[in-house]
Amino acid sequence: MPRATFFLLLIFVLHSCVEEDVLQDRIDERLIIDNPVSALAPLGTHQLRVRFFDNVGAEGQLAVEYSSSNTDIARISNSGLIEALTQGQTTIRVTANSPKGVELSDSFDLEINEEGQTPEVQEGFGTIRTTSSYILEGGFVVRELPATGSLRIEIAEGYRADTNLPGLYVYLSNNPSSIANALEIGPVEVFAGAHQYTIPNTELNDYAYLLYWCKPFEVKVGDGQIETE
Amino acid sequence: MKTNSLLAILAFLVLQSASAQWAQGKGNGYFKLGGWHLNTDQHFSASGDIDPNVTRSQTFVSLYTEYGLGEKLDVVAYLPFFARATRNSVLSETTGQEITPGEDINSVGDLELGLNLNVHKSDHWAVSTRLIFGIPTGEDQGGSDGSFQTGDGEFNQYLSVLAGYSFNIPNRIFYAKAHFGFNNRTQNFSDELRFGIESGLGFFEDKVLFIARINGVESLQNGSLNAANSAQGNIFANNIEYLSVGGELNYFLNDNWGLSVGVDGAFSGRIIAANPSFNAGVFYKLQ
Repeated sequence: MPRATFFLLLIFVLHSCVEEDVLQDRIDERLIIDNPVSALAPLGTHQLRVRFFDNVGAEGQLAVEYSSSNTDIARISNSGLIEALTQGQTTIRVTANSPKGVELSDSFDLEINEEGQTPEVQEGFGTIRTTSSYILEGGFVVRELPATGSLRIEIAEGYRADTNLPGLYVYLSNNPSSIANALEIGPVEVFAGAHQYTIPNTELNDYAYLLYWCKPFEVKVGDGQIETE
Repeated sequence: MKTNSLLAILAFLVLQSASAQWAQGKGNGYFKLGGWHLNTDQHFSASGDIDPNVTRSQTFVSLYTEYGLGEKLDVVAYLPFFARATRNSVLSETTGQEITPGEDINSVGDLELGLNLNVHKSDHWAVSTRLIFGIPTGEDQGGSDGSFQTGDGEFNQYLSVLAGYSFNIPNRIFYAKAHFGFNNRTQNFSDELRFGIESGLGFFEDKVLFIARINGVESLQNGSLNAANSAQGNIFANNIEYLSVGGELNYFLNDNWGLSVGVDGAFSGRIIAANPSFNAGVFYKLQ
């Protein structure tokens, strides 16, 4: 009987080892122009910044090519420096082949006029949606605060989250399925109504999603894509 | 979901002896060294739908005792002297890299102590009432995020009535019983109603006893504890509801010793694991 008892207990203990779960986190690779400009004055210049996010949302380096659809209006160097030449309109495009062999691109329209570049407020918006059976909904606006280098997320009045959700945290992420490479904003402390988060040293294009994550269960319960157009 | 201390209720219920409503009698007893294990990767959410979660496990190794202090009075004790809670690590399917590490804790569970008083006994019928105190000896805020619980951190008092009926059909024993009780919880947890029915049938000259059971917990929703006003771990154990179905085989090695194996699982519920739990034990009848 002691042997049987020992064997029984051993089975139970061995069946409670820490093992591994696998998260499906593959997403499309993404190339974005970080600082597009809508207008420049003739003879003005603007240095573009381009960012690449791989198939799990991690930022990486990539060789890119720049082009202008009308080089009489504006031209762009191999390093991404735009030179405005004369009044008119052109499309600036950046292209690259990803490590996985996918052709990626991004573009914007540029107008060359006498008024030139005007300061633009970097702003995004989105809708929080549940991806679980827990209630989670609301709208939000994301604003850059140039004076402080911060990003402010303003959750609108209609927001609500299920108070039965255990260990709910909010993140900024480039992968809607994963908190790897994500920025943890903090635990959700407001479950209804308007509120806001201010995140230092962060820009609008640093992240593409607001992510609601249940830490104890390591599972996403909701997200909101940050739209910029 | 879940891997939480309230599942210890189920562990406690399934470890009771088949004859729990009949008093053991003075000097007699029932002792069971048992294990209870749950591995869960999905749970019934607050709406009752099933949602996925990272795989977590909960294990209790315990000693369950009913001992007759008098002809009608038993002392009842559930001693989960080893409790273990784990959470798997999470790997990226794309890169194979670890996203979040796994974690585990070892502790003891919540102690249950009480008395069982037989209030009616006839040839076939027995009715008893039982008062159990839940002593918060387990871990209620374990692990890096406080969600690794082997206890709920509150002192509860569970008062129940058990009624059973048994008779011998040709060459085999048969019994049916039911229990119903009120669990008064503290620390802003909601009170609960617990109930269940169970039936057992003997085979092979009663060397084998097959038991089928249904158990349930209904929250009275009168506790204020939720995610907005509590530490993140505690809410696991509040407002849990479920209906579970289970079965168990008892094999009697002789008049005193026996082995048991069983499985139980919730088929509906709120905020509780949606995977089956398994139990096994060695029992001894002192008579």
